[in-house]
Amino acid sequence: MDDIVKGFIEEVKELLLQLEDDLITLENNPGNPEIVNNIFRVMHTLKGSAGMVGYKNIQDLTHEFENTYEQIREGKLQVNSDIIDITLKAKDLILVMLAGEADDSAAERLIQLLADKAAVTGKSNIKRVSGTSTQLRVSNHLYVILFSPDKGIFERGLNPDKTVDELKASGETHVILHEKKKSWEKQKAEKICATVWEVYLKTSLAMTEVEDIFLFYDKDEYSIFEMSREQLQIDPFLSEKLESLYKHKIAPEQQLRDCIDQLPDDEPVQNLPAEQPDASLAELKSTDTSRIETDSKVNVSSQKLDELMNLVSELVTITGTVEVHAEKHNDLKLNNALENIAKLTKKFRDNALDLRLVPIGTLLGKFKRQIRDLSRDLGKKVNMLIEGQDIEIDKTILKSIESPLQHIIRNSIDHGLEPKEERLAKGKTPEGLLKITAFYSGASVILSVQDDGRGINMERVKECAIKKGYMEKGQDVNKEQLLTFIMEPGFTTSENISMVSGRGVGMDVVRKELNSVGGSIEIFTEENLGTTITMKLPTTLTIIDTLMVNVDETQILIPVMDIEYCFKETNENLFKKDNRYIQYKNSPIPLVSLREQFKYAPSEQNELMVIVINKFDRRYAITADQIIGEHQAVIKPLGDLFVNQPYFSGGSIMIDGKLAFILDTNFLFNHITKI
Amino acid sequence: MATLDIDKKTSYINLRIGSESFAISVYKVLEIIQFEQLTKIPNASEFVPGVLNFRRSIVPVIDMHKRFNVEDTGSADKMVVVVDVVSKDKNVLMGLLVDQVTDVIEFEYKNIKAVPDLGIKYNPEFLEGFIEIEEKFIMVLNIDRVLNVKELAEVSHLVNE
Repeated sequence: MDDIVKGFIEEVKELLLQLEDDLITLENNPGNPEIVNNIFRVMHTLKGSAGMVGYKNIQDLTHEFENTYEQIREGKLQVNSDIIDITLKAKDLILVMLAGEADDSAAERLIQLLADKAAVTGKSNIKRVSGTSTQLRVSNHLYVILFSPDKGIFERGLNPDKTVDELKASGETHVILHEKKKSWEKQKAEKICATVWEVYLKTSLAMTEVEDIFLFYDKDEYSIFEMSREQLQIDPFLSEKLESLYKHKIAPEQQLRDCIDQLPDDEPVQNLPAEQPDASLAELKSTDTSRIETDSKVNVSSQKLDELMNLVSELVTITGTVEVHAEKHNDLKLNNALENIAKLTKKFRDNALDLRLVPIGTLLGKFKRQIRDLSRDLGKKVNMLIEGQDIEIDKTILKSIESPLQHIIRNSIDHGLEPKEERLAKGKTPEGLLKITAFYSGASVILSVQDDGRGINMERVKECAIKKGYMEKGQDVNKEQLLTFIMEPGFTTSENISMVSGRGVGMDVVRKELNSVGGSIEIFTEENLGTTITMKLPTTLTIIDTLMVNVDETQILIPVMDIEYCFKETNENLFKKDNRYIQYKNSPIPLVSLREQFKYAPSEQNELMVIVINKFDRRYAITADQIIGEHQAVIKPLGDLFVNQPYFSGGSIMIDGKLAFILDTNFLFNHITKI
Repeated sequence: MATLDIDKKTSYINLRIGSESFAISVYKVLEIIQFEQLTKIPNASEFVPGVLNFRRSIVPVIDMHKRFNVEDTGSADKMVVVVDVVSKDKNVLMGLLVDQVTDVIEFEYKNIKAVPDLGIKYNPEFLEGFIEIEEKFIMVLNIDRVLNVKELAEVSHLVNE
């Protein structure tokens, strides 16, 4: 390949990256002329360069898009998600074209699609603005809508402006913007939404249709209720009702009535100009905004946070060290002062930890769109339920579960949920259920993805396991164990590989990624009833509560979240028999001697400590020489040299400066199940 | 490290492993610590006698006797030289367990002589060359190569099968 073409390919790849970025930004700010201009320029450059090096197909394709964005730039056409969708597809196609693998029909189809969509949007917009649809139907509903998007709404890829515009387009509206301290424009620029919209909407739409406008929002982000004029006159508790329906204070009753009176009466009139100067509105802003809870934010780079976390971690350890030394002096004043320092340090630590926590909803919001698109693509109707969006978790962990979670959700929709006909034949509801739940459990967060689809076909898993050599034919393997095979590399039961999933790079990667942040995963499935995948995650990565035990001279830290029970038992009862099981709560559980695992000589003590580890209700016991006590471990990596050692997930520095190692309970668990 | 000026004198730490003398550029060395009890890592190979708490991070210590296959004479002045090695694009801290750190010597890079192909019992890749001072041969270590993290990681741990 000559240098010019190479240079061209590099350039195109760079441009496409920028294009993708711009498109996504544009979707959130549809009106932004600067971004439209950027996209136009990218298309233009692509067209020019492609022509020079002889990629005629790219040249032709980009030409069409250049035209479309030209129109958008001139205001003749409005951007919508369809156009952005098509442009994104074009971006992907150009990549394929670069590799010389595209056939011309793909480009033709895309161009045709673009032409269709661009035309349709043009028309529908005109129709909406002129209000023809309202004339056809009787506009007899009056809705009061309180719309208060979550402050992190932009991260979920939503734009409240769009939603409000949609409301405006669906009837006559009167919109009151409660902006709080910063103007809405400023909030938009900072990507933090703290605004509440109070919308009075008169429309022919039914309640459900209005609710549809809020499809992507959570139930607690908006409330809609319908009222009649009469009701407004006679209901003395109206404002209380409004308040109780919504946590924020809204306009006082009189002002509310005034607002509604401002709404046009019977015949459809022009929309009220949003910027209309209005004395009562001005008053509203000055009095009411102060009552709405302010929640200002500062953006900090995660690097700075990490640095802070590091310093706090040091402080925690050093405070411990000082305490140990001070005890020897028996100085009351010193001890008191130290006690205060320790308390402050703890608070400081908790606060610093808290800074890293973000609500899980910021991630789940992203999936809402994907679930919708995916279910549409696959022609399956999916009813999604999300619970526990405000559960908070470390940002790093949240980031690392994004792709595992995406994989699981795709699997559920693609393989789990059946097509409508099959569901009806089984006596299920036509829509499939996909439920994502998050909740706290002790020191960890449980995140589960549940579907009511066909479940995992255990017979097929068995066949694949035999084929892959994990088990012998005719061997009796229980379901739990079969399910662990699914998480082995390259395991897939899918017969055909689809665009969406089924390439066999699957659950093993998911498990690996979860393990790397100290999480674990469990599958529960029942044929024809569905599959539930449960992930257990630590809330934070940097400090964990551990139990310190001794194994010979080695100090081992066991995460408290994995421990169920500890007890003493004689050496003889534990090991002087043939099998390595002990009775716990009337059932046998596997027993692991840490001394044996570490190749140390067996203990000569009479009694050993037995620690029962609970991983998803599956238990095993480990023995240690002694329990020393609890320790708040600041996790330090063991470093690249020990990447191949599986026993420890990290180390920690003790208050006396010595080192201890954090036991990887996942590894031991997998290790035992393999024996 | 600043750009290498082969005519300029630079300092090297002179250390003893078994009966042989080696030199490491001071630019690589962070600290020299009196050998104390290390924290043993279970199941680690004999290359890694343990880890130590160095400026509040966990630093593995490599036993140079084992790395160079030299007999451990059980010296009383054992030292750990903490060095900063480059692995891929990262800097990794490691401790070298040696018998003695004798002194700091200075010489010009251009005076380092190439390793003869024969008659050297060490992997020639480990050495930049050798230098002759007062009729004594001192081997100049290519420490990034001696402490190749990937290679060491493969031998540093034994898994129970």
